[in-house]
Amino acid sequence: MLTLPVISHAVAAIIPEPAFIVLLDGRYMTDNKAFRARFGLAEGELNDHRISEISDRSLCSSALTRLKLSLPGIAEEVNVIVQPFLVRNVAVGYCVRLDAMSDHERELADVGSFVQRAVDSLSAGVTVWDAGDRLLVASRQVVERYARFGIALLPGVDRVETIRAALKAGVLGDRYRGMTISVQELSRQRGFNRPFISGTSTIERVSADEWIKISSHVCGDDLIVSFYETIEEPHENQIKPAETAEYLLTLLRYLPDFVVHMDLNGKPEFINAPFAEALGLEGWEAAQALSEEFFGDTFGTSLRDRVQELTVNGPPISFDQRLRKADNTFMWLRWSAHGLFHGDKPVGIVATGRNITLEYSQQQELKHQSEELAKKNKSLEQFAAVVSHDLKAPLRHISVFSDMIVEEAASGNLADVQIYAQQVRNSAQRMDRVIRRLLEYSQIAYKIAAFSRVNLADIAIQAIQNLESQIDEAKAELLLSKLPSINGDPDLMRHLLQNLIANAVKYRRKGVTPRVRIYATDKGAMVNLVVEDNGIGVDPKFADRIFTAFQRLHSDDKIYEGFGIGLALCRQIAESHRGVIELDATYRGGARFIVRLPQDLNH
Amino acid sequence: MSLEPVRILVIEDDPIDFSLVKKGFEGAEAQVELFHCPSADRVMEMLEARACRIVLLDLSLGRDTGMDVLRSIRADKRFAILPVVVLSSSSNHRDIAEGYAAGANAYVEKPLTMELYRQFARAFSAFWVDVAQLG
Repeated sequence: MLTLPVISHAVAAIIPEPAFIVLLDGRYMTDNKAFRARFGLAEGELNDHRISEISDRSLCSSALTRLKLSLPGIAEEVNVIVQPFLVRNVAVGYCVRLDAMSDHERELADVGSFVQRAVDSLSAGVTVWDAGDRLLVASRQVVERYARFGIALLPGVDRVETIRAALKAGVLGDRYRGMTISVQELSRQRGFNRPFISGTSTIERVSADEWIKISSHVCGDDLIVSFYETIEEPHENQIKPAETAEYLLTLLRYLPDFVVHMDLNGKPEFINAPFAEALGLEGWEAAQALSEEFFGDTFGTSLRDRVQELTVNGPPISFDQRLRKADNTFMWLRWSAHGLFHGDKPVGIVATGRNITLEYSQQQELKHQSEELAKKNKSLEQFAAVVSHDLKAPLRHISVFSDMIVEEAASGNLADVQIYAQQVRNSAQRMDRVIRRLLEYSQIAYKIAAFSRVNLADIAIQAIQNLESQIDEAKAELLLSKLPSINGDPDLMRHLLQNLIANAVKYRRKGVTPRVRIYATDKGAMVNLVVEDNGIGVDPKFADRIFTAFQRLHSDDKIYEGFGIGLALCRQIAESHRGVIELDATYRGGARFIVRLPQDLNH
Repeated sequence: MSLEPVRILVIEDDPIDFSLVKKGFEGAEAQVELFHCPSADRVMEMLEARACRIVLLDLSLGRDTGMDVLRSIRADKRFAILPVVVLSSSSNHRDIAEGYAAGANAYVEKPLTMELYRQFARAFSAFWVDVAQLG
């Protein structure tokens, strides 16, 4: 065990010149061999003897004090150098050495005491800390203030730890008493950021009628000098930075936006309560438990690169982010990141994030709608072109063939008249079909989808009922499996199914009983609705074309008519439900159409 | 007047329309031989195989519009100066302008009577067969 006597003995033993150790209260602890030899003392002879010149903490504030002492059993007075004896930054006693320095050494040692005297003579309290944040010198005024709260301001103590202990003990008033401030993280980052250096002064009320103004300055990049001035009660309009800071913290706490302060590596130093809450953290201090990787993931690896873009007066970096919250829901944040600078040297980033989930979804919805509109406009244009052609062609044929009938009749050649008349009739029927398609299209394609919870099985039954006569005529067998519910427009969904089932019945194989299966498979967030038949199938090279609005695959209507418009409409319906429709080109037994629809469509 | 009939490729997806064109040329007793190309994807193959001197092109050919066919003919070095006459059901001025811009030598609206088909065939052969020097 490293007890005080053991340590004292060890320390005394390694000092080459005659020396002894005294406890804080002046009690003689131990001495070394050189000391005993010098004065012919027996070991332990002076132990527990009280040395009145060295008592309480009076000599703690000085790095080095010279004294003349009278010791029992020693005739002459001895010149000694008294230095505080620290164990882990805590003064536990004094190391007293026989003053045997050379003149030169004495002068150098005296510099300290001159500095001490100069510092003590200032009206303001002063502390000076080295680059390693160790105390170099503190004026008596400050040492005494700290000592009243049991904090020893000894040369060599750690600045951050000392200030932290002082705040906790109440040296700067009750505001901070008992407060735990996690500064390990901060104190580790001295390179950029030396904590408790505000650059401006703070005014603290240390008791009912006592105010202290503390200002700290970094000299170059090394020494920190702090001044403590006792002042009159500040005027109401005078800024009290500490209170301002507290006020600002309160503001941050109630601000719904997310605020985070990071160092240049993306390591968080502060996050405000709403952000902590969204991340499922308790209190902002917990932010320090977050890793750089977390913020790397959160803000993307590009943040570090983009930090280079930040300039002192430049614009903030702005970006959107999809954040997974602690409760596994997502929110969209629009971040705006500003650089923090020390002079023109970047030292950190402050980013504020606004919840734009609602705006984002509205924006997405708008985007979706405008895309839908553009698509509809385009297909309307296409539609107009095709309809004009499709109406014009049979009309022209009627004109030409009736003209030919007139010509032939006039010349008395009636052999071909019947053929021409048939062409006229066919063309008229073709026009009729085109007009029907036109009506069908305008009813469905421009309908604004109205979404509700739709049971696909009910919809399929309605579609089948509407097709009853076609199904009966074809003697088709239909197999309807259990279908799920989705969010959709019931009219549009019925139209989609009706089209697919009608095609399945229509394009049957000669002499084969048409079998149509309607079923669904669950693919995570999507429902796959399948309509499958054993008919003539579709040539895979047309797998894409069949869904293109009004494109005829063949001018001979008897072969492909019906595909064009029906499937084009099916695709429009699937897309307006944010789904897709496709032909399963791998299926060889007939035609298999798959409609992939999102399980939950949030409208 | 050449003794050999002029070979014309008629690119037309509607069989009725092709039959009308054919009838028109027959009625005009033009010195031509017509080859029917019913779809866009056979155009290049037939142009090569049939050694046609002139093309009659319908603009509405299903998915591949006649306009695309015209552009691909013009883009092919071998057929860049081949005379192409567009025969279209559209009298839309935009289609007409686009047709000429894509390299058509003439743009004709499809006739509405058999007499007009014959008239077209006569005028066509009077110019392209009897007058024009073909490249």
